[in-house]
Amino acid sequence: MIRYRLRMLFLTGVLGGISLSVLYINPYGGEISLSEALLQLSGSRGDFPMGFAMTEMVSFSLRLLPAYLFELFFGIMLYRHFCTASIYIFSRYPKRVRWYFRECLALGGGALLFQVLLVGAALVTAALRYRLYIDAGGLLLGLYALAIPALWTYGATLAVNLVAVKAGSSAGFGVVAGFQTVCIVLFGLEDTLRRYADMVIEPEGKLLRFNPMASLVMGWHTSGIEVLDRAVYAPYRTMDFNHSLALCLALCLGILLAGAWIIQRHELLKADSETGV
Amino acid sequence: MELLVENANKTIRGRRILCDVNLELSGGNIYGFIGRNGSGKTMLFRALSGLIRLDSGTISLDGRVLHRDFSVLPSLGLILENAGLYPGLTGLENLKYLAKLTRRVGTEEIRDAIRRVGLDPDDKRTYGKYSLGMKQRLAIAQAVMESPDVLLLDEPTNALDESGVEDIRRIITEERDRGALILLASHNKEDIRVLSDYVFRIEKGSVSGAEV
Repeated sequence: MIRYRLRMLFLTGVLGGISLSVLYINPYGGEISLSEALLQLSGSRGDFPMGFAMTEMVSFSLRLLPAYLFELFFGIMLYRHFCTASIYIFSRYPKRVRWYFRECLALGGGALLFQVLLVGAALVTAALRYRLYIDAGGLLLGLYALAIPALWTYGATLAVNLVAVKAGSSAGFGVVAGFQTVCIVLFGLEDTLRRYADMVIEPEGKLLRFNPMASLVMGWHTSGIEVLDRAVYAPYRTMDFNHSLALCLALCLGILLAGAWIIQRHELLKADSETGV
Repeated sequence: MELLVENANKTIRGRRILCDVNLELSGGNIYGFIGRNGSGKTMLFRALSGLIRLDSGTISLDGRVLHRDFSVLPSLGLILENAGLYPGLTGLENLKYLAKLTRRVGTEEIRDAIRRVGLDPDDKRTYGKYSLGMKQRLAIAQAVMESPDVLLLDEPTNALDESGVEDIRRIITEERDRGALILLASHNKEDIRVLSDYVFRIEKGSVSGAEV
């Protein structure tokens, strides 16, 4: 079973990365910097950061498809226990929370490995198609491009598992994917506010800070590190890489702790949560 | 060894599942529980195994109270109706995964338990490909492999053929003779009659008996 999961993780990460690279990394003139490639992977169009038009939001959503597949395959990693041997596990092992954290650690490792495979495969594919050169800003951006999406994917996948424990696998994926979709749709609110800027109290872009999905758009971020800030050249000066990293980390911790509470208190009234038997 | 249940009550979604259940049970005996579907047998076993919490009342083993002094009974073997194992693992892999949780037995003891129930520990088929009878036998193997002090057996002879039923009855008797405290729930009155030292009736969450 572990071999099967690793195989799915590897395939989804590598094939996902190759697809994203072919579809979205398109430099002018046959050469591209590392930072540009990473920005294009997360929503930028050529030299231009992602805007708020519907087509760009759809394009951004499609970039998230490999992550959604990860959520689908691994969204039952904890939940599967509640469809099979939960009775035999929890009647033997009194420390449910410890068991839960061990499983969460494995899931976290998987999410990080997935992101490394995804970005790695995308960059290798780009390097084979074009001349990819490493810039200093790109190396720093690469760290954020690994950490922030990995945290987001981990938190979302864990949330799928936990919602599934209470309400079944369909509800699990539906709720979490639905929430992510709504957050993306809310990017359009930014566009509306820009058009009616004189009615807005706060400057444009500030609402993005509170939209979790905006954390995944590298091109909207600023940094106190000059070389990184120059490489991104964000149109809005209100989202910071460290703030997004902290937001994703806080969300993950919140879901993790909520999950511990759910697992600890969950009454095993059914042998198979999926069929209700 | 003494297992005490005192004034146990449990309500789920407005329905009384367990109603003032009182039991005084000791090791080296088989206690049979008979009752209709939905009478509360399985819920009683879930409560005894710590999988659900009582609304009121206590369950204690040798003076130590469940959910106060420990979260689950310290040495428990359990079969519940409809409980399954991991379909992608073989029988041996499934039991090794469970045994790792308590670290009380090694691979040889697990292999012996699988052989004891009439299965082949080297069978490469995964659990998902087992017949119902094989799944039941493996469930019994996982219940007895750690030589537990308490055995809760809910319909242990389900889906077994005649020779399988005989094998399992023999195993249950051997466990009783070893000193285990065994609770046995079955629709099969013959199982109850042949195996039980004491018989309780459970109806609408209330327990009465014990007939000898």
